[in-house]
Amino acid sequence: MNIDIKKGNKISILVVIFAIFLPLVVKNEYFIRVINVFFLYSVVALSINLIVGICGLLDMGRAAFMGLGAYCSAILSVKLGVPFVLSFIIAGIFTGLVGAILGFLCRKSTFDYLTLVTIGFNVICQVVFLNWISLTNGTMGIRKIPSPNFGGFYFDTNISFYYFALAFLLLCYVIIKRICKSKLGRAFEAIRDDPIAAEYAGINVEFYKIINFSIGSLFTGLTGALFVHYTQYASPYNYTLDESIYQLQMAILGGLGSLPGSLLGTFILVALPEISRSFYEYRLLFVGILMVVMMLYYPNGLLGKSGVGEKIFSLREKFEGHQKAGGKCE
Amino acid sequence: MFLQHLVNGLSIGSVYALIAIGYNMVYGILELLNFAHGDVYAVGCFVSFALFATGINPILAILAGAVSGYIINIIVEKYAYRPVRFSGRVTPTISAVGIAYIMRNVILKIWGPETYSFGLGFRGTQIEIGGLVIGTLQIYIFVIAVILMISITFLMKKTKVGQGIIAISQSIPTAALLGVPVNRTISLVYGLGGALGVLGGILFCTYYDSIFVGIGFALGTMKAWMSCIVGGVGSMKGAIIGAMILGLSESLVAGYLSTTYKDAVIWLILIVFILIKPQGLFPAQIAEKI
Amino acid sequence: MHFGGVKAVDEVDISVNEGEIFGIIGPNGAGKSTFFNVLTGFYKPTSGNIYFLGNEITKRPVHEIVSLGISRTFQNIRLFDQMSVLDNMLVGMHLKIHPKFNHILLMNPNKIAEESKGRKEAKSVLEMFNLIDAANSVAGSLPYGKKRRLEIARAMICKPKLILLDEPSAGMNPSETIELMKLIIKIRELGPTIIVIEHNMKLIMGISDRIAVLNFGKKIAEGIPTEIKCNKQVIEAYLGREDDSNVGNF
Repeated sequence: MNIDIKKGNKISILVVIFAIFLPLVVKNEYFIRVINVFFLYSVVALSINLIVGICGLLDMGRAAFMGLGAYCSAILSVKLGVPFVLSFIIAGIFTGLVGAILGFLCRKSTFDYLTLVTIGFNVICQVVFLNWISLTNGTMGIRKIPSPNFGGFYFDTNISFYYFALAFLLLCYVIIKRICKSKLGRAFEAIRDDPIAAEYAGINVEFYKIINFSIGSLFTGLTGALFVHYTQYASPYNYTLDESIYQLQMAILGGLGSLPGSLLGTFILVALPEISRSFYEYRLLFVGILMVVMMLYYPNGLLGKSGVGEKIFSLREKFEGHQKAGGKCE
Repeated sequence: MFLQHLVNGLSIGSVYALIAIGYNMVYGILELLNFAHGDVYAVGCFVSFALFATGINPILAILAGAVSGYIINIIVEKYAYRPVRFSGRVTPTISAVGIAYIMRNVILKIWGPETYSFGLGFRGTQIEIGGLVIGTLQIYIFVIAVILMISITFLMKKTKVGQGIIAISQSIPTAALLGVPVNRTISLVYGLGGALGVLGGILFCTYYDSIFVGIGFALGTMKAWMSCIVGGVGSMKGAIIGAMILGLSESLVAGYLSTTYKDAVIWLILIVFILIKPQGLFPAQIAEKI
Repeated sequence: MHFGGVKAVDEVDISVNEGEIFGIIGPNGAGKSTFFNVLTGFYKPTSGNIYFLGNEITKRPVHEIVSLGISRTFQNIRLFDQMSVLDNMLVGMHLKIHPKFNHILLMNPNKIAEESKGRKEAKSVLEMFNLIDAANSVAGSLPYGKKRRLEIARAMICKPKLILLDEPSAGMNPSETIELMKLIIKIRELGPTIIVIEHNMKLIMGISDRIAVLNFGKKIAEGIPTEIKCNKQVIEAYLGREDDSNVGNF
């Protein structure tokens, strides 16, 4: 297992180096923009993974939290002139707090009830974004949102934002990975696998569920805010239930419980609509079929246990003789 | 005015109840959020709709719709749900989500996102009783819904099949040992849920004389869920009462507060409900044995 | 403890002495598991009080009661199926590992002192329970006997003062049961007081210092094994049941 970790690290370092040099080689603006979107959605997928994959809380309304972070930062920076760094951080904290409140409300709810509430919450947020005109400008959305900036330097080109987003993704990835490998992550997984046994191991299940939901929402909110500072426009039509399902699918495709899987799943689902216009039109149908097929044959996603990735590597396992607890936070 | 809203609320509530019952029958057995409930029966409604246009006897068209709802659900259950029946909670739920999207997109590709006039041509007349305007249509809907509800309750309590369903909802292995044909019964339940949903959907479309792709999820699955939040998940009684309360609340909120914010207000009320009654009013007694 | 109209546990009054192995037996439905559930706070008793080491624990939540030093296993084995055996043990140590939050964020997980300490401890307990070879295996993939051992190992790792075993021999054949008996006696040497619920007469008679018998929610007898064997009420309670074949095997 020690050998695998070192190899994993080597691959990660190579990937990061590749990512750093990419925009210097490929000068296509459109391509860079797609990658920027991929970076941001990856963080959303990671947060979904943390909530759904690691802790087993089936949240089907994530897009609402993106919207919360987005509008919070947009309103603060456009209407109140708050500098980006502050509005960005406050948006994250705000969204995390809302996550905590929702988690608290549902702390005694069953699995299905929680899912229903997240859907309802998504609906409420949508309606509020569309109709609370004095705050959100309703259907017109909020325009002229400043690009991310720090101390006078503006990340207002695709390439400069690329590096900002890459750094953001790396930071979030490392933090989430560390949380997963810590006592916190184990508690989350225990709650997913058997909440009663978790309680009997001394874990305050209600409390940890709230923490999980709140941390996940923090990351989702930060990303939502970054999105609108990048596009410089916040629209109420981006945070629908369909969006939530599409984001959920990014985490599922790669494998719930596998952090690299979230990146892979996001990449596929972000790149495909760009590659094929007809895919874009049929993307919800595609996602539907994909969901059914994956649940039937690859429930752990591409990189999870018994996923495509695992099948490729399992030949080596057969020689080593035991089944590894792989696919989790690796 | 209040009584008017009451009447409206009751008719729409009874339609919701029909849809919620179909939903709860499945949930009661398998504890699965049947995400695809609405979208599947929407297909059935569109089948009826398409048949109306051909001038066929409307009763036959309705029957055809109900039957197609039944058949689709049986097929979906066999190929998309049964294989993952024991694979935890997340996997079957996601599979259902997939089916929902497939159904929805099939409708979109064939009929598009527009709203059509349902074409049943039956608007009914109106009766005035002391200032109250009650449409005969509303009365028909209410009566039909009530008859169907009573039939289902009767079916569950008095027939062998119904008892089998209840047995399965308690414990699948035990029911199997007792000789209940589990797979067949579960298929039947899904099928019935689909057919009931189609009937409810048709009543709904007749009431508003319109049909569009959203009647499945937004007005079917969502309303079933909202009824469950109020009435409790998994129980027949809860489904009916929850649906009635939902219909009444919608009518009252739209009438007295605002139609724009109707959905948000209703959801807010629901969230308050969740706060004080986290399991709904009449949750199914599912004991966790440890 | 009332459930609707049924008194599942009715005025059961038991005192357990420190360090002893205390057995609880009774026909199916006698209220044994319910007793454990009430004891550990999973159900709140409808009346009565529970004391642990002199402290009242009656209405406290489960995780609090556990932190006072009570562990349990379950009739239907409850493991964290998707986690590794080692991780299962580490979860069992949840209350004993206290990494600092800034360490979690800033340090490489392999270098955090609390974590390494925890892992070492977990591995040594796994060795004691003969499970060290499976440390990296997924808990859900273990054979039944090992799963049960893992569950007990997990319950033991935080050095509880009291451990409750709920029908640990369920599903085991006679030779596995004998291994289990040896395991329970070995556990006693580690210090905790043990309460065992069992159906298997041989096992209970073989390891218990004292036994209580429940039937229909009431305690119908309490004493040392030889007394219980001869108790008329106990024999009556078991006559005519499927496991009356055990009655002759005292």
